[in-house]
Amino acid sequence: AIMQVHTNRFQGHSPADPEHERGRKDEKKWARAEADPIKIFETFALDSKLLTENQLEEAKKKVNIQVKEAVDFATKSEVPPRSLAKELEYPDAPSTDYNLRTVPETFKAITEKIVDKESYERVTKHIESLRSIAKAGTITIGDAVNLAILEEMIRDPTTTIHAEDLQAGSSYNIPKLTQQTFGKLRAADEIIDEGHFIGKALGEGMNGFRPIVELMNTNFGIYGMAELSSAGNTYATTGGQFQMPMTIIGAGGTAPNQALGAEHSQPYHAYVMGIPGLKICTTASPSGAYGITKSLIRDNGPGILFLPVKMMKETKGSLDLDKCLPLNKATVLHTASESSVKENKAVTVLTYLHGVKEAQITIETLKSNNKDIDIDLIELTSLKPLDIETIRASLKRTHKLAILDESTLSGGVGATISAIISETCFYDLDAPIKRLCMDDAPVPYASSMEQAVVKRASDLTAAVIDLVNNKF
Amino acid sequence: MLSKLLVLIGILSLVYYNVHSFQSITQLTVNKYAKKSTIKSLSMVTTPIKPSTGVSDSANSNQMRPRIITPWDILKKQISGSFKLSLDQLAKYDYISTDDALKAYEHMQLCRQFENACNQAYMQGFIRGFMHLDNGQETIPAFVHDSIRKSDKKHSYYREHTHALASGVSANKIMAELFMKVDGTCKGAGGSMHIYDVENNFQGGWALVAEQLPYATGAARAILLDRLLYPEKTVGDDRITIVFVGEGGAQNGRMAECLNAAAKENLPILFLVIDNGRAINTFTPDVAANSDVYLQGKHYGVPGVKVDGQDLLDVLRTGRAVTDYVRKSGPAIMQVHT
Repeated sequence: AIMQVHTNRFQGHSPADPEHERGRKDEKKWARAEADPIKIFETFALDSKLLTENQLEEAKKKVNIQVKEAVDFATKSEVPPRSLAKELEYPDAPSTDYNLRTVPETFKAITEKIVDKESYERVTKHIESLRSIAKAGTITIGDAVNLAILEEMIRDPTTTIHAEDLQAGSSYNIPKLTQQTFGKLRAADEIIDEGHFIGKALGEGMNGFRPIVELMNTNFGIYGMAELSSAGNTYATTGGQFQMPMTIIGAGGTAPNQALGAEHSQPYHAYVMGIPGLKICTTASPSGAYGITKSLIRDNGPGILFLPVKMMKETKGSLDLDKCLPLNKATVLHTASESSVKENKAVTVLTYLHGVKEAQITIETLKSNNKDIDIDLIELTSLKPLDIETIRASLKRTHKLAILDESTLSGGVGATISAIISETCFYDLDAPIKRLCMDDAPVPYASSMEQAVVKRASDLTAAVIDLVNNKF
Repeated sequence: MLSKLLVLIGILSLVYYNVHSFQSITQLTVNKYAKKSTIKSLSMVTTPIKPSTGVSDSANSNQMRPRIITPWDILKKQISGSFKLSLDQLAKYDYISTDDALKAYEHMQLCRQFENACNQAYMQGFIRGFMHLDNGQETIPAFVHDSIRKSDKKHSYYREHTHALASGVSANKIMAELFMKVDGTCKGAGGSMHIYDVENNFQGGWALVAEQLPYATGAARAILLDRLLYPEKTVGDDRITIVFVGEGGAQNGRMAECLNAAAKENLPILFLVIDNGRAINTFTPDVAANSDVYLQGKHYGVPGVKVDGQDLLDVLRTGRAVTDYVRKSGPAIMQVHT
């Protein structure tokens, strides 16, 4: 229902407001005189003998004391320590091991009560089949996320999930069987408005539930910037009273030659970097997708996992079943040969999402054409917080760094990381950091133009060779 | 004497021919329903489908989404009530000439064949990325082609090839854009979801659902601003903005905001709601409490009507009436059930 109450506001919007809009001065004067609900009630109460003058006075005196006490209390109270701001950043420290998380005993019984036998058997069968595919090393990224979500939703009945086309399995089967197993309240189909359902997820998160939100494409998360930002703020701004265990998962990023047009190629990962309280992860493998999803769901703060939109169904792998991965670690995918390191011909390459595929092409190209040059390939599975220790360990060997970045020159992921590394690893660098990022331009549809905007394996290979030859 | 007789015979023949054609056209209004197709799965129907106005086509009512029946005489009464126009005023929209009917048919065929060519080119790899085809919804571009002018502003969504064609954008340039060529509408920068043509006032081609609503509202404001700044140049100006949105997209909060804006400033904007019952891959009634978007305007005083999109002539008639209303009076919603 809707209840509309017609009132008058005596003060300005805020003390700072000059209130010179039309009619306001007269209106205020009149309202304070003729539309004061307290005065109106007092007159009525006395005229109708509902209350006596004495009762009214006593009430006024009583609350006057309370108000004086409140001002007194506030005046005498201490200021918060400086360190509290940092302490309130995350409810769970970045180094948390989510494998040690337990759930209350009661959860099993609750799940048994709310999931009917037939649905439970069906989802168990599906989970088993995914687990066998995983063991066979042929599970896709989409299915790996689906497996993680189903396992966590069985383990913890307070998890919910929101997605567009959820009942249909969305685009990559990420929410497959969730609605059929857990029902429409826990697994909700949504209208096409990300701000709307990220907002609803925030409300669930504040009230004892653990919402998962799938973005059909991370570009659409732009519609929910306000809500995601508020999710990031919740724990700190409430002084730690409200946790925000929200998990957002989406496929996005910009692969070379993907031809999705400007509005499907925006670097949402770059846009959200600055949101306080938000943990940001990426993955380009099924194993990363599975392990990180499990951890993000168990984490009590908001977190987002970016998946590579062009690798969802083709990239296959195995999983470390039942294991949660850390949310603050980069992943070393390839170590440069000892000989290349000795000859000073090794370069540290940082990348994420589709860049991983491109960097692997670079590794093969170097093997064929420049056998003496090699790279330490580090996948930035955690963008925030950044795993500076793994990067530093590599830089101590190579002293040269290239970043293959699918975000723009201005405000991009590479820009942030480059700055952090320059600040903390200056003495380990023998060359300026080479950042291969997108131009400050909307990604064009035509592949011929897009080649200039989105950097790829050929650009990375050339950059690595240049760094080794001191060309910068 | 003989020549006068010949002229008389000639005139009589013309009159007979036109009357005869008119009768043929009214014959076309009798809805001929498609053969009943095999029912996919009734278990897919999770919510009861309530036809509110426009009675469900009972011949196909076991379909998840049957046609609605909106005969012209009933439509006229609805338009009369909602738009505050007399039945006399609406009578002029009864008649559609053979010429116009043929032009509309030809345009539907253009749209169908163009989309089929796109489909083929996509499968052959000449068109890449995301592409959304308009097959089955051709009465809408046919109406645009019939009622909307070059000077009117058009804002559409990502399923917009046919809207661009209907707006006079060259088929060659659209196809070239899809083929990533420099002779495309946007020099290959945009692709299928981002067709623009400044000459024809075709202002997009937008990929994010519902984003076109406030953009179109701004375009409508630009018309009023033109009249404010250049009164001598805009004497008799009756341009409008037409914005296309799905019944799914219209669940977005922007719809309410833009209806409010249109009502508050009496904007010359026509909201063309493409009601095909699917929001991406979701059966819209599964997530929307009310798919009758044309009724959303009631709260703001914006009139609306819903018409069976499988009936070309009724879509043309309704489109003409609603477009004229927007040109003369104010904002409106036309929902086409397809």
